[in-house]
Amino acid sequence: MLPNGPEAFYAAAGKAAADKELNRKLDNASARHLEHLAAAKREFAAYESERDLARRIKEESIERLDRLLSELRQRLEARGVKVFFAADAAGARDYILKVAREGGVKRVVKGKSMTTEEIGLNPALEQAGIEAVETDLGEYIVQLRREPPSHIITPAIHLSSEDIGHLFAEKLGMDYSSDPPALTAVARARLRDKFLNAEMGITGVNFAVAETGTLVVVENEGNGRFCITAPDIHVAVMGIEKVIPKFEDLSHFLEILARTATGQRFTAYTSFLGAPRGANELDGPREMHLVILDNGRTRMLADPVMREALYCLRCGACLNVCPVYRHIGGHAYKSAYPGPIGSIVSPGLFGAAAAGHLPFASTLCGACREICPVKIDIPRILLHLRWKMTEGGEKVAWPQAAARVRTAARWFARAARYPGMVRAAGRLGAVLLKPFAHDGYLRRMPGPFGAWTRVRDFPAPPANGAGLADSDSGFVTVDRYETVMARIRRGLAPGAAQESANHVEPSPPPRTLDADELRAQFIAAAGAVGASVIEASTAAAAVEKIAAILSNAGADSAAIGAGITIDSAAVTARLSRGGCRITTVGGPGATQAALKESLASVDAGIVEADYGIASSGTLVMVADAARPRSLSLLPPINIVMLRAARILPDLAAVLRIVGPQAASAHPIVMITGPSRTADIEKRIVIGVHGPSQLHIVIVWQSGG
Amino acid sequence: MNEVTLFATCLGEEFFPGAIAAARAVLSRLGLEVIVRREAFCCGQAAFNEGMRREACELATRFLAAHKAGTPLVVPSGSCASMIKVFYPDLLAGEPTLLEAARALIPWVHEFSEFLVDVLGVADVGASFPHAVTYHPSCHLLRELQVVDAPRKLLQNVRGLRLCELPRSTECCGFGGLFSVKFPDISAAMLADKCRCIEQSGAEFVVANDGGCLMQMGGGLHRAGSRVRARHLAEILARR
Ligand code: SF4
Repeated sequence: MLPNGPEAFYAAAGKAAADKELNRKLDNASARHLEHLAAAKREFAAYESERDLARRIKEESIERLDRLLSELRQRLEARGVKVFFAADAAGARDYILKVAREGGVKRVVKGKSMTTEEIGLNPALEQAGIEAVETDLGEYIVQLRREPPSHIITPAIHLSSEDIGHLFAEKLGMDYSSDPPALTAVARARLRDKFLNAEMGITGVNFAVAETGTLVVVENEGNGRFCITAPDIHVAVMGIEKVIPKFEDLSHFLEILARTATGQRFTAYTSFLGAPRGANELDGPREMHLVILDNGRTRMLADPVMREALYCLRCGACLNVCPVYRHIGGHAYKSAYPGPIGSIVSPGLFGAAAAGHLPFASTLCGACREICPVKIDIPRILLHLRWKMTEGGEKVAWPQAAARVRTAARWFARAARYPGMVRAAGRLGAVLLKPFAHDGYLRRMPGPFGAWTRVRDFPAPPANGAGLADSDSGFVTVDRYETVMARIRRGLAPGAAQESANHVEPSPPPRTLDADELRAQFIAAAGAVGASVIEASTAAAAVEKIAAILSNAGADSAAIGAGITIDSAAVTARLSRGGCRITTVGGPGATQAALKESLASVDAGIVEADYGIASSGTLVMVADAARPRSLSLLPPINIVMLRAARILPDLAAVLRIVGPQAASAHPIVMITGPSRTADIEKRIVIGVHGPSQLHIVIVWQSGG
Repeated sequence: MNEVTLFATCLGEEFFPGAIAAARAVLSRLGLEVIVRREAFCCGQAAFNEGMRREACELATRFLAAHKAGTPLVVPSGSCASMIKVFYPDLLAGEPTLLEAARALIPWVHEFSEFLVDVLGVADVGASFPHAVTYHPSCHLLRELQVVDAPRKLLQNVRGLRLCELPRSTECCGFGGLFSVKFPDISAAMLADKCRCIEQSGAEFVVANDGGCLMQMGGGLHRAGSRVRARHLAEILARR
């Protein structure tokens, strides 16, 4: 969906503004979001200084964009990832279509990606006869309605659970229900099959780390993990601005993003990837592509005021606080990027004729800047764009009424240069209007002011001037690396390298906790996100606990990783005795087909985590041949062993340790709680595409 | 030296002369010599916000010719004060002489409530107003100038005044200058929210420090047939 000028905006926004129901839904969702966010901020003492640090890193990344992108490209290409630079939307689309055609792709599963919305990928895929299935719950819902997402984080925010219930009843033939868990379960069941039978997965990218050549994908439902794990081909699409220098920089972004986007401490799943499937890995894509998109971003880069918009993390918080957005909803903007950030980005990406009116559709109230995690000065950029659209040679085709208002404003401003004259005119006006005033107000005004009195009364100017008297198929699939790089360098050249006013004092390191405290903190944090945590003093005790978990859950089949440090043979023997059918996956001679087969139907997956993060209750797993990624993804129950000594205090500590593994392209996943969504009315539902139960067994004793 | 300049603002002169007179009275009672300069009428905010920087620049030129550093300049409007303090440097970036004049003037510019509380150190101006009042923090005052507490402090010290809590107080009233007439539907929807919250507050008067918000809320309440009236802070503080 592309913006197409002010007339269409006026029509859509006017209609939406009158829709009280829409406003009620958006207000409720926004209130819920703000509540979550306030709670998440309260318990994160370093939030403010982390915001400044995150902003600082974004500033520096953009100043070095050319170098970072070529570093990223070089690292990824060295590992066999195909990196493609697209100068515009068509270039990106054509490349993806070409890859799809060459790979014989019939079905694509898509993770949530606003960038693919921006380039209009779905219609292009459909036209090429390829089924494109949106798999994020919110995206799935709006796709069923054949409409675009109305929010960058919560695509179906404009719909109530009743709306969705009717939709599912009609399109999926289920019995009507407005219960979010029931609706979620239906989507899960419908999509499982699609995931396992798609040839290509397409996702966005939240961060791309130049130093290690790592793409980071953040999500809650597990659908993103499916898209990058199950199909044979993975295509990631990102704007040029997503690159950051160092792996450890992520520690300043991941928590902030989770908190502002959804009010969580940490998103359920953070995946790190940097290479196609390794020689003896059992899952993951055989072919991996990264499309890096310009499409107007270098224009924004070249404008020193607009450049700031490239720091955006797409957290969506500014939409939720925007009173205009909450009254007109996302669709009225007719852009993949609605709301405050959209009103700056859309003219940048789609040009003045299409979207130049959007910067004017704001009261400049500043709520967006206040909440923005990277403090983008949105009102200032809106003002800058208004100037460009007025005196900068870019023109907006204003409808007549708005044009008249503008003309009147211009004449007023010109007249105001002569205070004596305007005062006299004002007095004259006041005298003339006096007979029409009731109780100090006018019910109708002439000319451009008619728009005012259509909806409210106008204060009658006091006639006596009181008190002042004294004073492809033509596919163009040429890599545009050089073109984009040249544009970036040109954009950076006048460098106007805005001196960062942002000198950040890092917050003092928190007191170091001992092992017991770390464990206690981990248990509390994991419990808070809905994981169950059990402690076991020895490996043997852990096996007993796992047996108990399985029997409590009524699970009669489980799969276990071959490579776990706790003797898997012993686990298998004990569990089999308990009547559970146990499959070991990832052993010598294992195949992908066998893996899929065994995971498709088992109740539980048993794995071991490499690390735990105490502050957020997060599990960190580095996948390898013996520990396939699907093991912690497909089975509805996930049981994870974690050795107590492997619990580290925070994300930064873990990133320091796993950095080298990311650099050597081991796929890493961070798991925080069971899979979840808040896509229906911002209500949290546990268990979407990933496991609905997460049991963590902490083993005190190290070794076997 | 106890001289201050009061900038009447264009909306103040045309629509709220009572508020300007009240601001003047409050300042005079505190023993200040209040001057209103007649050479400038408008700070240029409306033109600036509409992208008409040429016109805005002309008005800023006039404004800066009339108002010089050295005398405190009191502005009874959050958005006009932000225009001068926050946006003049952007507007005048290409005009070194004007920019310099603006930079010199900026430290002398104060929004009305901030001037009373933070500069003069006065929270009680000796006013009396036995009514239920609620306060709407105008967006520019709140988020451009970070003036949060001063107006409430002043109101709390008014005899007989009952300060009512305004639900969702920090939400914009939907004025936004020309936005109100260029996008009347959106503006009206935002205004309806604000009016509902004002009614819920149980107040008889809603107070703001910005002519734009007063026009918007006052007009909205009046159209809706509400008995609540919109008043400038100075009008309350001038009551004895
Ligand atoms: S502009 Fe800021 S608040 Fe808005 S989506 Fe981007 S990062 Fe989030």
